[in-house]
Amino acid sequence: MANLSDIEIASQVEMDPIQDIAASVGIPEEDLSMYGKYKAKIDINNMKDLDDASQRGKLILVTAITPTPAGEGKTTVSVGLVDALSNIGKKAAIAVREPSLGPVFGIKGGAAGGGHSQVVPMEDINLHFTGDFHAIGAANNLLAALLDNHIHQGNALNIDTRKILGNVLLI
Amino acid sequence: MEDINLHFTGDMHALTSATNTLAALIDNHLHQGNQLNIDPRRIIWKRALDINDRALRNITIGLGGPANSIPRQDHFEITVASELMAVLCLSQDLDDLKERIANILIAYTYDKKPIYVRDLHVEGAITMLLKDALKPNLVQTLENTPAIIHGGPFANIAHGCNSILATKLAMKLGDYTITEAGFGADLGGEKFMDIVAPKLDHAPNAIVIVATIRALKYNGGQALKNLENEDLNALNLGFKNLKRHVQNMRYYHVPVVVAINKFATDTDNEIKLLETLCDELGVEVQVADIHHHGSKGGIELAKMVVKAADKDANYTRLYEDAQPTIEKIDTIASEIYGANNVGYSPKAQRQLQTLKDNVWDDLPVCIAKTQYSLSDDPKKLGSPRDFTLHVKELVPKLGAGFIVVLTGSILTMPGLPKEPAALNMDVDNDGRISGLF
Amino acid sequence: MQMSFPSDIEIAQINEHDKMKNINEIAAKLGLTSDDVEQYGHFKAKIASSGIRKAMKNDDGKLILVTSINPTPAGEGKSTLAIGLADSLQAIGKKSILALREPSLGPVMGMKGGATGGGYAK
Repeated sequence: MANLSDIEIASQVEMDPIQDIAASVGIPEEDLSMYGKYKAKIDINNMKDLDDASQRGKLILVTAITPTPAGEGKTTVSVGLVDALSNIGKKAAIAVREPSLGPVFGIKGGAAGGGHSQVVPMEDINLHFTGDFHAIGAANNLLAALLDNHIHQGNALNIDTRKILGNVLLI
Repeated sequence: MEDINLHFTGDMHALTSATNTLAALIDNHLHQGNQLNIDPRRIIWKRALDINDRALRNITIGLGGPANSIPRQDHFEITVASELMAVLCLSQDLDDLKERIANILIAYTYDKKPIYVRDLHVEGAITMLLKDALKPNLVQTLENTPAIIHGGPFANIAHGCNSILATKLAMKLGDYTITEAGFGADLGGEKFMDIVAPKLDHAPNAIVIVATIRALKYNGGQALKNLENEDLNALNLGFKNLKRHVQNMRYYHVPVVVAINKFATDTDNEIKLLETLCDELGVEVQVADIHHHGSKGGIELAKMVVKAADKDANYTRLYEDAQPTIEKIDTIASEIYGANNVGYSPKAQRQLQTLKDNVWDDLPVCIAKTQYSLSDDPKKLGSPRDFTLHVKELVPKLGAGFIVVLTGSILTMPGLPKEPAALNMDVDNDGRISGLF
Repeated sequence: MQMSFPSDIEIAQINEHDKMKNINEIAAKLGLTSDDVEQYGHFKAKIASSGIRKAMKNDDGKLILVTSINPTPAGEGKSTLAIGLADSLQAIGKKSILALREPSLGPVMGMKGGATGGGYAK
């Protein structure tokens, strides 16, 4: 088998519409907010009681040894494991972090798994995804701007500019 | 509405990320040995943030020793003023977007040779970040009319209208496309007619100039806090502002209609006076009360616009791109703004020479100017004459394909006011927003 | 404006729940199928390249430019008027559509309203 890159492998896969994926774990379409055809936000307000322990399935944590700068494939193993569980007839789902844009332009590359164990659409997930990180960046920088503006406009709260803790943040 | 005013479909965030990725790649190039011989003092690419943050206008970066890049002075501008925003709005497709990004001027070398994005070989990466942002966004009005909302440059510090792709698409999808040029007709209007229409290859079939009784009274010398009181004298004096904008838009030989956007405080006497003044000027005028009544308040205006758009238009540009930059600026300053003179700072004079030396002299000009006056001084209201337009800087935006001309004290990173609107905003546990207007 | 009037966001919230149509219905009015758009939630969509290619085969409609006189710092309601005009054209039986800019977050947090029109024209 030729050595295909992650994005080549991902682009060969025919994705199911995200409504179908949601339905397979019992999330009705009205609880989804679509982001294109293959991504959705889940409206948790209508979902069953998240704190009801009797309704919970089992939780598996994946971790690793000390990694090299390229990463050791934790996400890849996690994705492969959840696909394998589905394959042997278990109702399985994966919950992982959203990737930052920073490493995408450096050496580590994407963070949605690799090879034949990836979460897709991998290019969307690795770029802006549903905009959550951009929202966090905007909120962080709005707070910084409001703080500097407060000082600029007369500093009614008498803030000591030597003791400000926030930072401007880019993602 | 909350979505549109907050993160929407993420286009603005994508532009912010793309702008800052390019900045990081430039600084990384310096840090990794600076093969291109870039002069860190002559990097013109600025970082961007979609927040009014005056503290970031002039900053120092790269402090902390050799592990932390090359120290240099840097600047932030608001995302809507960034060149990538203009480039996105003027691109026809992804190939065009990539080519425009490749052509962006980012810096000069120590021997003053220009450096472009293509010299860094990163136009592909930057285009990739904007691949979804280039797709126009479809939403609807409260009355279910389709609305394509796409791209968002300001008209005072950039070219001021939605993407060309959105307008082209809208014209294909609807029989009447309503588009808007930012701020007054001296800014957004002029830029639409001289920069956008040629690229669109379609001039407007009609131009609607929005006027309010309150703004005319303000232009007639009435104080902001008194605008709710009837004042026929101030209205009469302020009318010369509308008159100038009507005359300016008539240069382009496209039918012009005046729409009076009605406010609850407008009196019948004031409306009657304004209608009479418009009649004397020979321009069609119609009151619209769409703020209170939606479409029912604008039926007569709609009929008038349909008629105007059926008339013959004979679109003429104000200047030709081939004219020297200084002539193009002169033409806009005298014909549109009413200036009798254009003054250049020593820096701007040097930059005029740079434009000539690099053969960048045949691009349209995009003048950055205060929106509150036809002049470059926000305090000169009405229809000022006999003033000098002060040009302080010329910035070649070679990806967008125009020269930005900074005048007066215009800034590309605004600040927040004493009582920011943010103080009143909130969201409850069900996600319901309050205080967003 | 008097205090008894609902604010823009209140008008929008009341109306949006009652009257907003799924964006696929709006796209259908324009001859675009659900394959020609990429939905963002129920009420927003990006127009996909297939939709653009399809539309570009149509003839051009008329273009109306809305501009204004020199404004006060509060703005003179150009977007509001543009939106109202598009709605009014629709009300008299014309196939109208808006092409507008996306608002910046900067002024939203500062002053001057959001750039999505005001009152009932939104």
